[in-house]
Amino acid sequence: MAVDGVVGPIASGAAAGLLVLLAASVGDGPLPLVLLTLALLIGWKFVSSWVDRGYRRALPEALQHRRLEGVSLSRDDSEMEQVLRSRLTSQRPHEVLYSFDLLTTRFDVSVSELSEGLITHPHPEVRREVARRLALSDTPELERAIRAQIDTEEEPRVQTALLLALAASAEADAVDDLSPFINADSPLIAEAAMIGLLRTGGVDGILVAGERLLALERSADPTERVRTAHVLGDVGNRGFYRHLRPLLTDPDATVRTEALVAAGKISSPRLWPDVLASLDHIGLHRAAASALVA
Amino acid sequence: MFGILLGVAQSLTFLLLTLVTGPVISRYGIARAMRPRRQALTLCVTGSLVVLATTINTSVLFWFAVAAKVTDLVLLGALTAPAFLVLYQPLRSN
Repeated sequence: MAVDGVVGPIASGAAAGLLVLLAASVGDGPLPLVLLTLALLIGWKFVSSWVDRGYRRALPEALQHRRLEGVSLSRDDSEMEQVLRSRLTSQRPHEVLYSFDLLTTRFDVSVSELSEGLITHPHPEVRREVARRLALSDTPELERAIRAQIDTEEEPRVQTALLLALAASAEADAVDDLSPFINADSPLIAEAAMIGLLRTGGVDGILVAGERLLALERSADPTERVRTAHVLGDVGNRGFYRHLRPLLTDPDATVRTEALVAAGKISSPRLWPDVLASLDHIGLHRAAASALVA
Repeated sequence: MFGILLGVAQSLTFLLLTLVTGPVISRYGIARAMRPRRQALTLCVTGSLVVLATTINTSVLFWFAVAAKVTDLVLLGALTAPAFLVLYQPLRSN
């Protein structure tokens, strides 16, 4: 809009002024005009390359935040809100997600209001994103809808997000729902169930998930110890720092790397001596430095 | 004359939009789809410069100018504008 409404007219006015100046200074023959146009076209090439480089730098950030920088939308723009709401029924998942993101971040539409219809969307990408957003918000009114979707969900990545969403919305009431999943075949689903129980399950949740977590922590299989680090990191509770200590000095480098990542997420000062010790290790110093600055 | 020029330009734009735009943007990407307009205009302007340097025949120069204008209109509508719009389409989450 800014291009059409502001930049366009200014450019046209500048072009007209330049033509007048050109005619007044070097005459109104075609040669000066052709030379000027050629110079502009050459300049255009360099500006295009410059813009292309800038676009490539900006795109990853826009993708990360699922929005395009520079797009300004007014919160009072009800017409735009209606357009975005109409796109929520699109069969194209990226259109739905883009509209969902804009409506909830720029128009203050509640996540709960939009999620009720989208949690059963035919595309798993949409269901996963909606569940991810529900896990970050307080939506007890959607508890029943999330439970119903968990029962029918077949996509493991969506199931993972739904378990976390249920933990956030039902809190300690979700313990009975999440408990069966801690022994799931899918590591992602099992980890999500443990994370949910430890985050919001209260004493019951800690008792159920804690036992399984200790078993993973003491496992002889490094893959299971890595999962312990994942869970502790994603729970993000400083009170669990003691369980990361043995992992930070684990004989397996992969386990230590994941433990360093988790230490960065937990940010407990009590872990810093072990993290600092990892700075001397050539294979771990990068992860250790990242943990310290996280 | 102006009406004919505009009609020809719009017809060519319609044909390119229908048959060429989609495959070109899909195959070569946005940046490359925006190049032909600039390249075609450069060609027309360079041609005009050569004509000015070598002949005093103003009708040839006139037709170069017409070609530049039609090329600009057609490629703006058929390639540059659609490629530019693609930049604003909703993004995939991955």
